[in-house]
Amino acid sequence: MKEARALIETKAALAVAVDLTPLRPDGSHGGLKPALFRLLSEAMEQAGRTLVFLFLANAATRDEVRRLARPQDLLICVEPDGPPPEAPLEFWLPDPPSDFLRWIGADLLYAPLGACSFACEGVPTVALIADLLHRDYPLSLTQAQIAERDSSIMQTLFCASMIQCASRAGVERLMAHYQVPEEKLFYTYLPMRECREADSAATDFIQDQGPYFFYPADLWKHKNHETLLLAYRLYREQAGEAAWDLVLAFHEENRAAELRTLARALGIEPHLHCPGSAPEVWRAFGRHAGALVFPSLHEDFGFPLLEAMRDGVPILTGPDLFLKEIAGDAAYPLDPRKPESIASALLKISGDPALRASLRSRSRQRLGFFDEKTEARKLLEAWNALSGCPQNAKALEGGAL
Amino acid sequence: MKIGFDVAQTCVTRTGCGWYADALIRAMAAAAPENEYYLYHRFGRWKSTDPCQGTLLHQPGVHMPYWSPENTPPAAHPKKKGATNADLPGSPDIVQSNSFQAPAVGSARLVVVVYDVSFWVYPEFTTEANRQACQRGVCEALDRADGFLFISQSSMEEFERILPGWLERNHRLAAAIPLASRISAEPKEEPGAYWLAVGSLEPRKNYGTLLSAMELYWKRSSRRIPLHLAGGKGWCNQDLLARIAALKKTGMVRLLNYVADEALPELYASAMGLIFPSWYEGFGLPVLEAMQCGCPVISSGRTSLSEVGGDAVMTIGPESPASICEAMLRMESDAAFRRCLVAAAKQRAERFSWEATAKATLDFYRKILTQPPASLKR
Repeated sequence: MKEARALIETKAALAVAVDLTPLRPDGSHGGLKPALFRLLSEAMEQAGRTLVFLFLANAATRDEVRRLARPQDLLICVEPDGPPPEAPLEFWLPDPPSDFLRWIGADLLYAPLGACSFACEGVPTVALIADLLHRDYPLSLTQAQIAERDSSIMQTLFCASMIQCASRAGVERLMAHYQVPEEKLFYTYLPMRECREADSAATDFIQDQGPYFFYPADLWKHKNHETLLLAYRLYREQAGEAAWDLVLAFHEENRAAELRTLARALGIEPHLHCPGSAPEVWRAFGRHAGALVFPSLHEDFGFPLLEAMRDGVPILTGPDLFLKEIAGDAAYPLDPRKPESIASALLKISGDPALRASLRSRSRQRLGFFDEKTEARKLLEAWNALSGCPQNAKALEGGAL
Repeated sequence: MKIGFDVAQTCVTRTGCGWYADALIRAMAAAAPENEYYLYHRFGRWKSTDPCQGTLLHQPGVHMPYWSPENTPPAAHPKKKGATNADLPGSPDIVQSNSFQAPAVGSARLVVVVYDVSFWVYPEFTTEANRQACQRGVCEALDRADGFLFISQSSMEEFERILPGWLERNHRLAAAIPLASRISAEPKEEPGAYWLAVGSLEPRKNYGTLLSAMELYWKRSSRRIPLHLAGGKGWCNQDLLARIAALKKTGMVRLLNYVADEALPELYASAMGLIFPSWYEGFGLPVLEAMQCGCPVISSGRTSLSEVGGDAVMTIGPESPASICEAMLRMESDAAFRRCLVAAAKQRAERFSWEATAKATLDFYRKILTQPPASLKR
């Protein structure tokens, strides 16, 4: 704590309060949580002692955040529950005052999970908005969810000085949906997850299988599983004995029963595998897939594409703006709303080894666009630019550190 | 037979599905009064706001359990899993769904009407909500339906193209039973004072090409007969509406919006011709209606349209404004040719009758009832 205080008081470091209080301990943030942690780690790596993080955490995820923090950072638990803070890096602030960011000497608030509940006057805020599903594909949500997301975005747009998006397409969508001026927006691609150790049981299973298509996506409407199953049946009819199997990775929920009923009705059940969604299993199936088929109708990022590119797995995907931005010409195109188009793409990929090799090669070249060092630098630049404004000068007077 | 029949879509402003359900149930009740008919004004997920607007049929043996003159909301149609036919009003032997859904009907047999599969072939022509709803209904039907009823041979073939061999391998019965015209009129001696297009303003109808054809025609014709567009508000049509608004000022186009059924015979009979350049149809009822009312037809011949019109209509390329324009110029300048077309169309239209459609549908039900239920075929 002393180190952090010294760095902040001498203005030797940029003090960024990172609001991780909306973080949940489960996997419900999808790929966002690991991506965010990697981005922050990379920013730490690059900035070294010129950057101090003041992590704001909740009781349930404090341990995860603690693993991310360096000795020079601080962890502030803003909930009263949970075990006592571990000195010297942590302290408790169960009921923070509205100007507490100034009070702890923060130069900037970073809200990577959208919420800006700790924003205060005189401390600029950078917020990440990576999810516009409620505007881009509202059919996946209830009216109440749409209203809640809309209100949250409006609040973030009101509070934040700068908005970080996860892609160029994200910037364009935000401008189109909310008329945000372009100068208030910037984007950084999010890093893909680290290579996890593959699940050994899954690997054994895979070794006994022939090649297969892989689609990792939870059962939201916009993930378009029904059209894929219809297309997959058509593909099997066309490919005959040479047809590849299909592996779907998703969290079990109500729609899973409907999907299995459809698979049974279509007669494709023996060729369809649903191994669950544990990251290790996902990793094992993803890495060994013959191809990634990704007929999603909307994405805010699409980590599976990047991972497939890294793993040398050919990709088939649709024209969603973001998917196009990630995959470019490294993916084989399909129209995700047309079963015949998907079936034809499956047939082409499974029957053409030269095409698969070419897609792999293009993927490798394209991976160069997604460098986490570059993306972390863009984030640091945005932070530095904002905190350098005269009106954003530090307010350390009376600091409690 | 005790027949449950979905008339939920007749309770709102009627489009093709609503008219089909209304006409078919009337024809079946007339053709086979010995059956018991249960008209469901509420059915599955379809939310009928006012059952009173729906089909009203007073005849012995016809029951309307969800219709109420006071429009008090009746009990929701049972759709719980594992429901028996006893849970459905009238405990029917067989139920026909007319609104792209396949709710659980217990031990009753379920017939699902598939009008077309344009939501798979041309999803860009519909809204995403409609694509999802139609796909969901057909997917449910693959699990639950005992029989699939198509309104044209073309629709059945399109279904087979996306799901090759599925019907046969799963021992599901299917029939292509065409519609008929609801209206008729005697041909007029003098050709009319306007070209006619009938159908809601949606991309599938290809009105963009039709307007381009009108612009060409306007330059080349000495008669300059305007186009009257009759159709519901449709969807995905902002550009089209802007174009229509601009052309209205020149007198080239007039938008009639939705036209009531009673006014249609006169509208068809007084037209120079019906222009129907649609990309994709399940049947193409306006073509048959025009043929029945002495209105010659210029049609794209796509999908089911050749089944309906045969060689009694002029066929054009739906992608080509010039092709449509040529057909219009020929029709307006060659009175003898136009008269031949009217006569041939009138004759061909006699092949289609609601009585025949009703009898074929009832035969299909009987066939289904002799087969094991779908639940045993899985």
